[in-house]
Amino acid sequence: MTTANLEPIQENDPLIATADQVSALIESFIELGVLVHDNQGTQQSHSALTRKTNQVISQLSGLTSSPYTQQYPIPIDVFSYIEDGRNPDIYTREFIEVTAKSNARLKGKMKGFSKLRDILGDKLVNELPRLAESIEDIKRRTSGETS
Amino acid sequence: MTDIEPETNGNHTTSNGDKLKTPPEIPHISNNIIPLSTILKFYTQEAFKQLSTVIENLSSTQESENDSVRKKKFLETIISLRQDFVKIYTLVKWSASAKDVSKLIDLLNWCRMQEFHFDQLGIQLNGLTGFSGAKLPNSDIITSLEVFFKHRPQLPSYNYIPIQRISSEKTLEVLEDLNLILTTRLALIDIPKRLDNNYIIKDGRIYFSVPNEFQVSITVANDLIIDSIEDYYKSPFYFIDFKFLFGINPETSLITHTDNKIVTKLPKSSHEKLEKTINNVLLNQGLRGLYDVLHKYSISFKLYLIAKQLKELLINTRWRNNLQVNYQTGKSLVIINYWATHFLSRNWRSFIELGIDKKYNLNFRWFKNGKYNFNQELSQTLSAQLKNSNSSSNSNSNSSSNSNSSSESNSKLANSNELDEDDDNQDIEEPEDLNVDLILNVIVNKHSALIMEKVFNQLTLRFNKESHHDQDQVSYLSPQQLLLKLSPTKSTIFCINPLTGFFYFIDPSPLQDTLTKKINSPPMIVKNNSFISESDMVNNIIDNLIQLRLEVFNKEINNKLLTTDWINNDIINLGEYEVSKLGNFLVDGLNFKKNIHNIKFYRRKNWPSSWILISLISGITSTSYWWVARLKSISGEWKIQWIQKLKFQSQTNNSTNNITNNNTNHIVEESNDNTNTSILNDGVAPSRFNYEFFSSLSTICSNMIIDHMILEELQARKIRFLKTDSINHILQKFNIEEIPDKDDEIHHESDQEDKAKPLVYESVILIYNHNDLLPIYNSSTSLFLKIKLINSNNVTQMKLKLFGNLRNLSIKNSPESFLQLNLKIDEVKNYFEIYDLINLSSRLNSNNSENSGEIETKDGLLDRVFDNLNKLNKLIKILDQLNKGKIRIIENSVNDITIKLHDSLDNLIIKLPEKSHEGIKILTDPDSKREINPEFGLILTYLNRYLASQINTNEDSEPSSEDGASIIGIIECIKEIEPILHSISRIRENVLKHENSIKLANGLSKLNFDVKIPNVNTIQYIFHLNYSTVNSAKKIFKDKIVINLTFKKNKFDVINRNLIKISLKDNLNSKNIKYKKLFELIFKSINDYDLENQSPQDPTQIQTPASINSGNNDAHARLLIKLNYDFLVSSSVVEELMVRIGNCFVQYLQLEPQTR
Repeated sequence: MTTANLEPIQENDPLIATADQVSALIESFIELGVLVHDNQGTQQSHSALTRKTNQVISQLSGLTSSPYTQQYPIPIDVFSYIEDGRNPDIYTREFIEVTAKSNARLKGKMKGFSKLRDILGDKLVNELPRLAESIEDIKRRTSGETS
Repeated sequence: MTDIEPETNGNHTTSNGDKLKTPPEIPHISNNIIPLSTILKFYTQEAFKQLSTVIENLSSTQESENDSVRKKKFLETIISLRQDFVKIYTLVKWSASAKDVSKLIDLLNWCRMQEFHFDQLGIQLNGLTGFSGAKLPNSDIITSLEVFFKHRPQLPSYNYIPIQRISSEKTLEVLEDLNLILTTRLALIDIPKRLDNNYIIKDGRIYFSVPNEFQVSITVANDLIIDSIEDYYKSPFYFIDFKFLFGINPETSLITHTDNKIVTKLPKSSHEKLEKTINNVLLNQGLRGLYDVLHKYSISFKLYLIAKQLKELLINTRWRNNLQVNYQTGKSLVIINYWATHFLSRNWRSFIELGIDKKYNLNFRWFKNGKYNFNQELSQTLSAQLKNSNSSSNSNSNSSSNSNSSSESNSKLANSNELDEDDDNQDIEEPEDLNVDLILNVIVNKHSALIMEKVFNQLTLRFNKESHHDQDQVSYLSPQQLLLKLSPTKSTIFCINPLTGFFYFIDPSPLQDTLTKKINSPPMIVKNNSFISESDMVNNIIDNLIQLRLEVFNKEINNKLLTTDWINNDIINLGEYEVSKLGNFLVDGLNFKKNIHNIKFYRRKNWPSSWILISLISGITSTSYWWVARLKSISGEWKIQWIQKLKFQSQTNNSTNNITNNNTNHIVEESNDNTNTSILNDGVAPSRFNYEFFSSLSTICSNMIIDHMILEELQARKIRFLKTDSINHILQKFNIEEIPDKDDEIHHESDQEDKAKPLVYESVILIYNHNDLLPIYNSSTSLFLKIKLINSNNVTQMKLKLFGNLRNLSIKNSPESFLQLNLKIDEVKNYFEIYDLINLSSRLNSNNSENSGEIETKDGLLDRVFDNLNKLNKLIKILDQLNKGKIRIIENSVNDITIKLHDSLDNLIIKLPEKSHEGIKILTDPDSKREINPEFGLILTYLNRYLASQINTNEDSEPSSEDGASIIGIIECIKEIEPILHSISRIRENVLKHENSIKLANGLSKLNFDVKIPNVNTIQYIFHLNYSTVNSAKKIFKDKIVINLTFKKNKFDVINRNLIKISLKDNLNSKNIKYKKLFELIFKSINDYDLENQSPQDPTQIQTPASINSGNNDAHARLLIKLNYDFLVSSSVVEELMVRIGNCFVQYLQLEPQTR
């Protein structure tokens, strides 16, 4: 999954709309630029320019209140990536990897500690038999398996 | 991307509807997360703002800036905005995954939180280990019990409550109880042997005292009776007090044990330390441990004291510089290196270790010669002393202790009194003080004695091997001193200094001093080797001592020889091969070694230079060997040309039949029969070196030389001889009476004197007469030469006597004349002798000047004797010949024989030669009144020359037979030549007679007659014809006509006889044609003579020669053979013929006209 294409699913509709608007705006900027560049100072060109400027402004205006876009949280890191001209997908991928690793490590620790818990519990039960019940309770509660 | 395991977390997976309660949601993270809409809003508003600004600027800057600039600014803004929105576009697109990413962020955040929790858990678990202090003390049951019984605990009073004094009765009671208990206890346990019987129980304690070591007191703390070792811990012994039972004697500052009076107590700190240690030991090991520990302690302390003593010894005692001590406090070992400056011992090569042995007793070890040394004798002597000291204190109580482990150490300790070094027990309990000095002395003396013993043994071994009669060459003066004989008369004392280990001589000579240095420095051979063994050193010493002996002995003999006028010759150096020749003379062979043997060469002043006395002495034996030899240096190497060993008869063996003189030395010539040699000593025993030996030595040697010279002379004369000792026996065989009789007669008056004079030498040589010395007919095949040397008035005289048989003599002479020849003939006894007396002293002196090897040919000793013998021989032979030749002998004497050959001739004297190699001579009688015919004189000269040459040529071949024949031949020759001589005189007379008639105008005779005799075989008649020519009347010419006469033999003659050839051949030349008439006269005259002789008688002839011839011999018939110009005539004819020829000259000249 990349940013190349937006999947035309419902969830993405606001995005697709927004993307179109942005795309149109960019197009308008180009045309505005051409107009400015080619402006001969004639009235015709002035009016064209003015019209175009107004169109841009109206597009901006439309974009500002782009609906339903507040639901997309953008991490500042991604924003920085794009500002620096880097591919935000790289950020995505790296983040996934870090998370996966962290997850695996965490799982290992959980398993190790659950073993420690069992052994320690057994020893404690041996030494302090009267704690057996509580220890068993702790084991039970922390095993993640609800009986 | 969201495959987070739901079961572990159980958090947001709400899919499990079964669960009653779902886990709490993962906390949502919103930090740093911005909603997309916000971004969009911000950007669009920003863009609008920028656009507005730009556009406003465009209007405001219409005047100030040109269009293009304004356009550009506007464009830049537009482009920048567009780029921003391109990013926005990207962001929008990414936003499709924004939700998932947000979840991931939450998830990761949660995971990290979980991990943090686990970490915390680990830290807390670790924290559990810090709870060790969280123990509860045990319940104080004892106090609880106290409280339970006594209703109150017993608390310390801190001395606030006064304690009641113990009464002395109570104390005594306790002590007595303790005594009882201790007695019982001791009876029930094993006590170490050294402690057993050495204890006293009193005052509530046990006093153990180990003599010479320590005293310790112990006790127990309760009244338990312990009867098994297992229960011992219930009531162990406790230490009370301790002291050493020895110490430094304040009077002598030596370690003393005397009567245990001097004790050493420990200082307080040490005592406390010891108490702790001992109590511990007592608890764990009991009495056994107590003894062991204290025993070691005592020994260590004793060692310390010893070391202290040694350190004092090192300062300001005689041991200084000779001793090194190695002692480290805390180590139970003292090492003492004695002889610290001696190479044998330096650097800890010889030392004594004082230490504790395996049984913890004080013991010693002696290290020398590279190894530990156990010397039985030493340890015994030392142990004896130590034991004495030990037993005195120990005897009553300590008998058992000796059987203990300490027994050995005890004994050794006992030794250690002397050998402090020996590891003895600490038990040194001698009544005497333990004196390190003394101990060192003993060891060092022992070591010295051992070394000296080795030296002594080696020396005796070497000496005995070499000679059997040299006893007592070495002997002990003391264990450290050897009396060593250096020479028969000198001896020295060789000592070792036990203090330093160095050797020295008492009252050394300079020579000994240098040797001492050598002896006291490491031997050369092992100098490189770091280890020098004692035997190396001893060998070195032996070598040096032998060297010393050799040199002293050598010097002594040299001195004696020099004082008896011998001259040492250092130049001579014999090669090995030559030296081995000397060895051949020794019975056991001579193993010649440079540093053991010494060969010296001596000669007498009056000796020929090549004659040398050789002496060989040895450092090992005092026997010496002597030779007389002739040495010659041939191309730088000395060679023995002749050598003879001097043999000296030992005094006990006088019985040999050899000549003995009155001196104590008996000289035996080396003889063929070797029976004697076994009883003869090979060498000269030292006892012989008295003055007589040396004074007679020269005589002996001289005699041998003379003997040898005579023999050599005999050989040179090619006289065969035999040298024998049994001459008397042989003399009897030859019926020759004892010579001395004769001798005595001759020297009758001097006989007494002779006896008084030392008869130095006498020997007889048998000479073989092979008809060359004397005709065997007249003598025998054996002659005898007796040589006798007599010393008188410091002059050595040699009497030579040649004697033998003589018979059938035809000489009749007065004995007086024979006395000229020193010859004596006894016809009755058929005996003759020739004697001679030579003054040898002057003789040898005159001869020693230059190359003396050839003495005998120059001036032989035997010359006179043999000359005389030769004369006798010649005389006998010539007389014999003459008698056979029937020649009239008018007279004879020893030296000459006078004969009469012819009436017309003088008496001739045959002179016998003075020397044997000269020939006889024929002389005219000097007494004759007649004038001697010069031609005859000439002829005699020629004949004598011939005789002399005959002798010389005959020298090599058989000299004998010719002599006699030749004299006859000579006489014949004289007879033959006589008519010729006669004719000469007659021609002379004739010429003189007619002198007046044949004169030249100037008065000079026309004819001169002369005779030339170039040799004995040629006689030239020379006629000189003088004339003058008409042309030159004053000038006189001379012509010569020669007639040669030679002796010839006619080979075709039937009778072998001498003929004379008269030759005119020389005159056959053209010059003489003018004398044709003369020659015709001559031939005619000869013819006439021939004719006359063929006719029976010619009354005109004077027949002198004929008369002789006819009277003599038929063979000498007149003979005249005419050859062409020669005539061969017999001697009887020649005189007349020559006279006729002479007349012809006169005749011719008379006929000749006065002038031509």
